[in-house]
Amino acid sequence: MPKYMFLMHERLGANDELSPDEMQEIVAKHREWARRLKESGAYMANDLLAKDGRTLRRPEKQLQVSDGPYIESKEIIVGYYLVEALDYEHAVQLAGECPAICLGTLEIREILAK
Amino acid sequence: MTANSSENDVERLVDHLFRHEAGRLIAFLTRAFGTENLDLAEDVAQDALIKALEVWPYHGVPENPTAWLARVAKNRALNILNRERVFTSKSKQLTDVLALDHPSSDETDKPNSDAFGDVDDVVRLMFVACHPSLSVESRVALTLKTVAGFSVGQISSALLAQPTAVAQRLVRAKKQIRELGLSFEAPLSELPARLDSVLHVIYLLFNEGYSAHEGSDPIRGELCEEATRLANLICTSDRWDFGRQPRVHALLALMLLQSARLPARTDQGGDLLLLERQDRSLWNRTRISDGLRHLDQSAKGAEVTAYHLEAGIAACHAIAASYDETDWSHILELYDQLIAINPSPVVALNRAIAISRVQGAEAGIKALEAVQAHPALQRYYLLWATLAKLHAEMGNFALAESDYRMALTCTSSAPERRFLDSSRASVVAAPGGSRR
Repeated sequence: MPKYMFLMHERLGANDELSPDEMQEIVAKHREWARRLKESGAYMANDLLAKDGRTLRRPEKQLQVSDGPYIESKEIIVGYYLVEALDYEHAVQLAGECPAICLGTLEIREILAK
Repeated sequence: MTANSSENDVERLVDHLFRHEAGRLIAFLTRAFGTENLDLAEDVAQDALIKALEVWPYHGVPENPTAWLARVAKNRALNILNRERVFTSKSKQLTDVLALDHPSSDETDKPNSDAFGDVDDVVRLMFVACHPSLSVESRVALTLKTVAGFSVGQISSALLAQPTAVAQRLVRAKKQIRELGLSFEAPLSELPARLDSVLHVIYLLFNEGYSAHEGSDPIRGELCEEATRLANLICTSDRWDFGRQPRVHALLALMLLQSARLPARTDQGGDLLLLERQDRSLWNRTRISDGLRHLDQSAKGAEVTAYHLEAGIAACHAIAASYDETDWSHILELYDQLIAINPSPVVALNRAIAISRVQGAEAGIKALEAVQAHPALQRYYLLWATLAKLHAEMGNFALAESDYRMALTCTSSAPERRFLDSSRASVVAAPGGSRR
């Protein structure tokens, strides 16, 4: 069965204005969603990524390293889920109810077989 | 940081965990930073909650969410203390406060460990937020924001105010607290007066939630719950022994007895039901017995406050088997005492209703006519609705109908209007009613 990666993008500052009640609701819904994902057997792995990082560039043959992955970007990848699904349609169905979408975007990419 | 990710970890997210933890974190951080840095305390608390929002979905809700949040908030506070110059003068002392329950004690932290945001800290924060030098509106907004963990948006829905007005009120209140140089620990000599101010704010929160308004945002109903929770905190905080103050028990009794009736107050369509038409089996019996217990405790000592009398009246209703079997004479006695303490037009209106139950509709109407001219009542729909009901009881349906029409011009609340419309229809349809 093909594997898919759910890349969770978050809008910078999306969390700042949430009320404690809203935060709690998102956590609870996310955990419920993850639980259903596991129950369905689709879940393989997930991880949370640190928000700071390094970005490398090499303009004019000189390596430049800058802090933060999100230079020039309004969204950063905050985590991922690795799942097994029948096809994109099925993967979209699995991801569709994830509440993280309300804080940014969820990108689904198939992992290509070697 | 390891977190348990058991399958039922969502159960650890007890009702309003984040909101209540916000209050605890702000209370603890205000002790560490001082009341002049209330904003900073709020920011750090918010940061800790955001961290939970980011981490818990992926790693699971920790076994002890409270300890987890405390640890994150303390680390952040220590970082700020090490970095910010503002604190140099007292940073040693502050670092000691924060180190009391140091982050390294990791997973074994007890949820209510002394050093962190315990009940007393939250009560102290309430005393700051309800300082008598602040306007009453500011006290209410600040209590909701800092102690109860409501957002500005929720506060504005709860108080039917504009969000910008609420935000400005909060900024002003915090500025005033800085200027007053309030200490986090209220001086003992000021405690009695300041306790009254705290109780008054709780009473206002409760009433705000209890009255049915337009839009009926669910957050309004939660005000009652929150007010009761705060009064309970004050009662259980043993540092100042407020549990021995009869008026604290009286207020708690009043709120428990009143809110016990909430489940029966509207019908399935959300329309208001008068006391006499409520299904009493829906009343919350546990709350009623808790309320009666606190009413008992409030009777220890000589003081009789308005809270005592209002709680007594609520108790008469709560224990009556039916509307007709209610002890109206006792209620009238309590209203007689209440009006001596608090001669407000609304108390006078309610007293007139009690008079009508004891001495008949005509006496009730007379009592109403005596207070009717008060500016606060002339446009008060309940005055007209009450007059209408008494006129109808006397068979004077034409007068009743015109009273209901007056009442309708006084309110824009949808549930209240539906109630008045159907009442008016019933007097129009009554035999000898003014059908046209």
